[in-house]
Amino acid sequence: MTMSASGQVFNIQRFSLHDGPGIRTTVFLKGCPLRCQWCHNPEGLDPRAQVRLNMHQCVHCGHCAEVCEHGCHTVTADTHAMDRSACDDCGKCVEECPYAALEVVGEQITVDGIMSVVARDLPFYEQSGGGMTLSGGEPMMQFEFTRSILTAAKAAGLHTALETTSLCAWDRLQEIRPLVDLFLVDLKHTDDTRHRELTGVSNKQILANIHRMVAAGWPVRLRIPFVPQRNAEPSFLSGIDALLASMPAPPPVEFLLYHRLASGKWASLGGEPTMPPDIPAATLHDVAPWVEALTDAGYDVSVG
Amino acid sequence: MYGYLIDSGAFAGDSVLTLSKTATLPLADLSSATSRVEQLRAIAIDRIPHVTGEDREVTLLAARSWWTSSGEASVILRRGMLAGDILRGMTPVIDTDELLVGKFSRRELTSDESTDIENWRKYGEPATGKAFGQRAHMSIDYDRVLRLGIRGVITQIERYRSSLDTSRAADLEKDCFYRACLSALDGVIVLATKYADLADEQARDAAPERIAELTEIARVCRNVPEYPAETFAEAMQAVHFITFAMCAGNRMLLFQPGRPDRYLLPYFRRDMASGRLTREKALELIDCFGILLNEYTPRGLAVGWMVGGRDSSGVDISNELSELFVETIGHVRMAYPAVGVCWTPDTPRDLMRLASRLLARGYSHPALFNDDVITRGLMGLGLSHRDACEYIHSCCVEITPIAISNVYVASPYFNLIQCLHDVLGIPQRGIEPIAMPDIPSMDDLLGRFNARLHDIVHAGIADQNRCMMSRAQSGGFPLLSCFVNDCLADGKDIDHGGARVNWIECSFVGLANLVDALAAIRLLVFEQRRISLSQLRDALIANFDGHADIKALLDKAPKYGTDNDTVDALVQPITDALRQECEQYRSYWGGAFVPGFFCWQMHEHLGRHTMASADGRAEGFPFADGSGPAQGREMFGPTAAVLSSTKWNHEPMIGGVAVNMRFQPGNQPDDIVEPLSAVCETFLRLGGFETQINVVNTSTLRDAQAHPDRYRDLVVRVAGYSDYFVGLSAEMQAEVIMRSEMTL
Repeated sequence: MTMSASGQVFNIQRFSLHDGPGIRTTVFLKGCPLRCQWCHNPEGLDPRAQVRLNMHQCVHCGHCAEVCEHGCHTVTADTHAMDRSACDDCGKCVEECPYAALEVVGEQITVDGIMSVVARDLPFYEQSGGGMTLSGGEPMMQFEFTRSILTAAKAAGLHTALETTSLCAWDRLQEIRPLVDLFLVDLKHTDDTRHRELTGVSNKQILANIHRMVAAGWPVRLRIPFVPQRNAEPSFLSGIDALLASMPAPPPVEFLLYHRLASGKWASLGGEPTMPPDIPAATLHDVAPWVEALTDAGYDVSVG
Repeated sequence: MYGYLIDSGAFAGDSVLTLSKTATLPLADLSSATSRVEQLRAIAIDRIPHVTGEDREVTLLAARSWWTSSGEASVILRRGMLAGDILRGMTPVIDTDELLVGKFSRRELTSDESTDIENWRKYGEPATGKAFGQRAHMSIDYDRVLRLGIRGVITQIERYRSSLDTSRAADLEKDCFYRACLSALDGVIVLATKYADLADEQARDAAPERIAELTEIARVCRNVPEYPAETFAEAMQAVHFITFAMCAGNRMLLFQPGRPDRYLLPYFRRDMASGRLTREKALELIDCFGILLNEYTPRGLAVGWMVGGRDSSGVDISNELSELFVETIGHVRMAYPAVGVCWTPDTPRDLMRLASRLLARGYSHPALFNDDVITRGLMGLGLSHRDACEYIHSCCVEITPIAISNVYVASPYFNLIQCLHDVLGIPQRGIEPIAMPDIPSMDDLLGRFNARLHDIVHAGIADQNRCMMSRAQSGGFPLLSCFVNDCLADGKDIDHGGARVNWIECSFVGLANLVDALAAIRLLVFEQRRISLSQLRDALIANFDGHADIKALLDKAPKYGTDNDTVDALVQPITDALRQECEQYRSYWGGAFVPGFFCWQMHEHLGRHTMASADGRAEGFPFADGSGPAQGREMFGPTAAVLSSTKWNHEPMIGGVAVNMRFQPGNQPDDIVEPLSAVCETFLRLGGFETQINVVNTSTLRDAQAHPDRYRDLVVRVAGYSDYFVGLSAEMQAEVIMRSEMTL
């Protein structure tokens, strides 16, 4: 791999405070093998770039329909329909829209391109003990790209964190191990049947990788989404307890509370939200019994 | 100013629930003052709406003094008598439980007294010479007050007088000045004695526990400021009393108490060592001092002190007293004192952490000033290293040297967008547009802008020098001159050029708007040629009505505050042009004309009168405040905003550079301390001049609009100063809310 490797990125978020220590820049890579019902970043699922239509910014001027060569846009005085089957993501409508109602989610960007953004906040990393985090999507889906970014970040002396479901071959994790200072490993459920129901995939490889990473003494932090009426059920709590109990040196656990901020993202991408609107956001109050139970059992637990 | 969500959006629920087992150890409560302080504070908050304008008794005493001195030919002597007459005539007031004394009586005048004022206004005042220009906004020589006492200063003056030969014209004038000083100083002593007498009188009927306090007040007031202070408590009373006497006797406000962690330190350490003083007792006195500032400074201004910074040996002087003068913010929790922490890379961690914890609680103080940057800037203006280490914010972010200063600040405010509009033939709101010349290139536009800037600055300095001249002819502040060097040594009043430093600091308002406007014009008109300059001008004059496409293009153009090198590179040449323009001029007394980007409330005021601008700003909309990004334009968060704001050299902008930032509160206040301080300290390490922080929720501000009675003490950073949110105009409230709303 050369430093000019490139991949699909849907956001580079500066001033990230919750994806590892200090002030960080989080690079979100596109593509994910899981289909979690509660996904907070639906724009990270598809590995390709997508055109996004933000209806609240559209003034129905119809300019996009004029410039689109594939007839994707049908705009009337109060509607704006987009036929995505005809769209080849050429981005012309996005370029021409004066109101920023259309945007491309996902950009083919080189490692150098990423580093030129990430390196800008170096003074803040130094002051706060922060660095760079790779997230997604699932960064391991673009493995070569991920490895190249991490290599470049290490060469620049940055603290690196990788947020992953660890749904990937073990040797790939081993390969990037020296390039990662902190693994933020997402766990959605400990029960395989429930995991399949909620995310569409089995958790066997995930759990196996988690066991190996922890057993090998890697710097791991388990991140667990807490989703009412989905995985927030007693069997998962006891599953977490059992998982940690099986480890000689259990990693710290961080609960992430389900919120509804992503619901608008689904519509802008032309899809339907997979969570019904009547499921409320999780609160500190909801998760408190879990935190107490696991803390009482002697584990390092926090809510992020 | 702009808003950032530090806390995770995942925290959608109950924000007061604490997870006892996961929470960090509780930290000391920063807002628990003594019950005395809480009581005094409650009274002061009730009085906020009534602290307006000059005390009527002072107006009366001034009017009577002008009548009685009318036979005296020397203006300066009359002005010294004026100060003395006011101070001698004031009614002393000591309120329940006060430890420090000295305040305006705010008494109702009798009808005879009111008639005296009216007669003076009608028949006397029009015949006196007018004196214009900036007043106060400085810190006097507190060391001299404490070391010599008023009596010592009088002795000094007598010594100067004894060497005069009054047969010589120059010495005759000096003698008038010295006699004026003596009259004024006598007033200070008489007023302090009246306070001592009142304390004794009150002690006769006081509750047993109050008797000792009043007796002590009487003893202290008989000692200071007349004689040198001996204890910390005496020094605090002397500092407060002379500050108050400056306001009353000179009939002006905004005297900054300077650097208390320097001049009070010997008293503090001596009393602590001897066991006479405790940390708590010292803090209570400081709290009382802070509350009193609110009782004689109307809202909407700024007054306070600075701590920390280096002395001329290069050592960061931050000490245990610096902490107390910062900690008091959590106790007073009002608009004043406006505390500035002078940051250096050597500032103790504890002091910075204390500052961040107070900011995280939403108290809006302290502001963080960059000591090394400011000292270098002052030396660049010709100050000695020693003088350059002793500066004060006067009173928001404008920097003036302490004890040697006759510096006009914020004089005047220049509207940078209007300067550009003048080039484009766009007048102020409500005036007919004029023709626009043919402007073929960006270089031509910038050339015309600089030419127009020259005209505006030239007119501005001429006006200010006319003010200084009026003061030389009709002004004079003998009382103040006693404590501003080298007035006494030279025998010259501050208004006659007696101060060592006689600068005029001006302020350029709308920097971010100008940068964004020029960046957009360069890109859309001259590079991409998507619109012509006359199309743009038409759209601006129409306030974008019928030109929504142009407005959208302007909004989409890259902005200052997003860490965009191409846009940010425009700032240094602009600031260079402003500085070079200012450098061409001298003040009436030969001092420098110094640029700055301080704006007070003028970003809102000037914005209101200015047409739509090429940065996409609508007609009448406020300008960006200070030198940070415009409202809602910092799309990539605080790190990008900080980087944009520090790519140009702040040093020469001694007239003040402020970068406001607004953060959302954490679930627990201390949750956001680490990122908050990391952002602030990085800003400072990168050469930022000053930053100030608001930590408040938009929902809180909206609730305060709906229920002002519940938020009478909600203090927010406006632009270089802090004010009560509920007291702001509707426009200003909207402006403060808007700063964050667009980014959340």
